[in-house]
Amino acid sequence: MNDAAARVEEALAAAEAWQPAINAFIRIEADAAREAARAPRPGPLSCIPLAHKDMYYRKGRVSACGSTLRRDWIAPVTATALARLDAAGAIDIGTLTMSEWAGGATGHNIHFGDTANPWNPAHVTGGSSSGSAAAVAAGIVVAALGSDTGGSIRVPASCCGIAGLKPTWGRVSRSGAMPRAWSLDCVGPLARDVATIAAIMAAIAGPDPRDPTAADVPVPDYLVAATADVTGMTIGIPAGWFYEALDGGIAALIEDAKAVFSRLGVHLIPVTLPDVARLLTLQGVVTMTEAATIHAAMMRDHPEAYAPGLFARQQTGLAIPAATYLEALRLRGPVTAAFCDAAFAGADAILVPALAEPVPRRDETDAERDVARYGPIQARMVRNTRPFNYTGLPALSVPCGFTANGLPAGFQLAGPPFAEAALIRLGAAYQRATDWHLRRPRLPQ
Amino acid sequence: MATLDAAAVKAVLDGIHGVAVTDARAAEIARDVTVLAQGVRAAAARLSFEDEPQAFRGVLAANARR
Repeated sequence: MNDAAARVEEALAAAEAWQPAINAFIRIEADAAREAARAPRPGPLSCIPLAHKDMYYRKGRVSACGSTLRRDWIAPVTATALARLDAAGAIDIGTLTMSEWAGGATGHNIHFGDTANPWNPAHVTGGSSSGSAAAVAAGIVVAALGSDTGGSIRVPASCCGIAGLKPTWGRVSRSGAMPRAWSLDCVGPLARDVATIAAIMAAIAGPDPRDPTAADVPVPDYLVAATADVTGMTIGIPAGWFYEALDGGIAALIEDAKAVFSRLGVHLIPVTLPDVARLLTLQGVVTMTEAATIHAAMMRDHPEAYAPGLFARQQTGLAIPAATYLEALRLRGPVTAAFCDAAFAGADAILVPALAEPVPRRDETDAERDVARYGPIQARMVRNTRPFNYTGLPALSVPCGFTANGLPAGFQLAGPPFAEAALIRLGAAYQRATDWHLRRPRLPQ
Repeated sequence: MATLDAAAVKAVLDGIHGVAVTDARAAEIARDVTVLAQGVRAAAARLSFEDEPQAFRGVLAANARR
């Protein structure tokens, strides 16, 4: 057996072993993976088994997108991000569970079953990239693609104790990725360590003629950034919103993380941000209106095919006046400029908690059929991540310890537009000084 | 200030989009959309006449570190 075949067999065995406990996979594609491992696959990701959220299209393969409506839908194209990972030598071993239409933040799914947290299956993984986070945390694959419209990479990464990067809007092509809200959607990686995040970004970032919104901005060497010293860099610590309503245990872990950066020679300075709560209103208007527009025809013809909570949320989007939606989009430029001026005038990045509270249990957040509870539960999960979707800014979630319930917690590093390299530099340096990312959950017996 | 009401929401969802909605849910949506719209309206006070949605990509480029 060659090295590639051995890696694939190891990943397939882990996927099969974990699946009953965590439900990370929609499909394990063993035959296709074994076939791919037989051919030479040169490249920077040569023969590395990966798996991705079931919303990245591969021509001829089903992408269910977390919905029963697409249970048998065969993709007509291959996503640019998948094609670039293929070209880099990676081997795709299957498709990963996700929230219905990427619309939920907990990892529940009434159609395909909930994804469960590898650290404790009674707890949520976070969503919507639930299977991506669970598969990486369980050690089945070293990295997976997720997508992030309001926190769908960073929330599950934090809940599962791994790293996750939402790149700048436009940094990675969205071609061949299921849309949730075009103006906000970002394609990005989840991985145990930030150095692997850098390797995936090196493969997928950059302009794409198939996606006119993919930015034609030079791609720096992320792998070099992941090894660079951080002495003399500056992190801003914002007062207000991100540190309000913060659980005491998470607050202590964030203080520890700040202390690590100080020991690494990073300057910590206070910053004052403009009205962050308003960003949530603006992000909500854009997300709900665009998602409702995308789904209007299916909501009309197949209302029974949606979880009631998600359906109700999208109903709201259909009632938002066009002028309100366009005002929210017109505000995006000036609001983002003001945010950057306040946050990054003297800092390379800002540091904020990823979640404000410990990872909740699955039963206490199971609201897919409960219209009244659905919205408030989603809002709790993404209160600290959504501001960076509206502003389009890059944000990296990094694990920083465990709360009293035994579940992981994380912080976010957010930076100016296209500053992914700076975030990788800081996150990787933090991981060289800590071992949170090296800890692994045990396979439940 | 007058607010959106359930009848208006029902007319938009049922009548224009063809998406069924109960009276109770329409009332909830009316309240939620009113709050959202008022929030956006308050924020929009900072807009200038020429601000347009497409300018956002230019703002990202302009605020990138060289």
